[in-house]
Amino acid sequence: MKKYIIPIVTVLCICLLASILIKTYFNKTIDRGVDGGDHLYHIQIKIKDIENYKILSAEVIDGGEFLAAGEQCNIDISEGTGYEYYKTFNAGDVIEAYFFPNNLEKTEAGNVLTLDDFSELKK
Amino acid sequence: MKRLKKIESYIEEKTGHYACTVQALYICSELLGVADYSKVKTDYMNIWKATGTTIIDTESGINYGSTPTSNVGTGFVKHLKDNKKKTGVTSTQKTSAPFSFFTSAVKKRHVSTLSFSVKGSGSGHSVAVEGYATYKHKSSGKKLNVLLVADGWKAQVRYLNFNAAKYDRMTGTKWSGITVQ
Repeated sequence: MKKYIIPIVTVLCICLLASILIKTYFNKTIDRGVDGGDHLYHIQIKIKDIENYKILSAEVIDGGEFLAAGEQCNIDISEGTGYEYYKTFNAGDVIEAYFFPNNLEKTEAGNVLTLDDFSELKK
Repeated sequence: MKRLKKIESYIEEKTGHYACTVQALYICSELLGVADYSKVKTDYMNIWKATGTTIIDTESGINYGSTPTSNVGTGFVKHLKDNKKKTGVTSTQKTSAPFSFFTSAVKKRHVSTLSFSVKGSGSGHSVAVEGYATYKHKSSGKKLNVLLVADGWKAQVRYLNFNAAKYDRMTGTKWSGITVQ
């Protein structure tokens, strides 16, 4: 029986170490999308190309800790421009936006305002 | 037509008052299409009174108020009934409200508010919820739940990480019997 104890303990230790490493790694990774663990990254971008409320391309003006100025990015503002729904965004505008790192995939979203409302608000 | 641009500085200038819960409810009234932009002060102060908001501080001539969380739901119902002739509206309030409390409201185009405090700071805030989003970490599958809120301070939506550890006493209030117009 004794001959099994050391291998079993070793395997358990390796599993424990691996789980700690994985947890640490993923926590760090997902934290890239969170400001101080609480808010998503708030960045400033300059719109280069926009179509139907969706920014097709933009240039980072102030990307905080993770995005360099001048870096290109794609940001969908069809959901969540809040008070500024009524605003018409144009190429060349500098706006505030949220940075979602590539390792996060949006799976579901909803808003009390619809795209029809956005159109109405822009009138 | 909804304008959704009544930010803190505008409200303070128009009314001489500011309270985050009243602000959140005023934004809800905008979303519901019942705000009267020719009577901003009247609307704002009606919500102030209906929710039992009291002045806790005065700075530079602006009265800052605090609202008992328990008054949020019933106070807004009273405002809608007494001042906007909207009957049949009911409120639901839940402490430690789950994310689904808000997603179900958004799906029905019902307005809702989130009141919460920040651990260790002794301060709290209330915001109007206008949307939500769920993100999945591609590798781990871990979910990130986000509420899209109007924080009442600035003219832009805020993305609030619903699962952030430092938020406390997350209380949700939502209203049925009236939908976003």
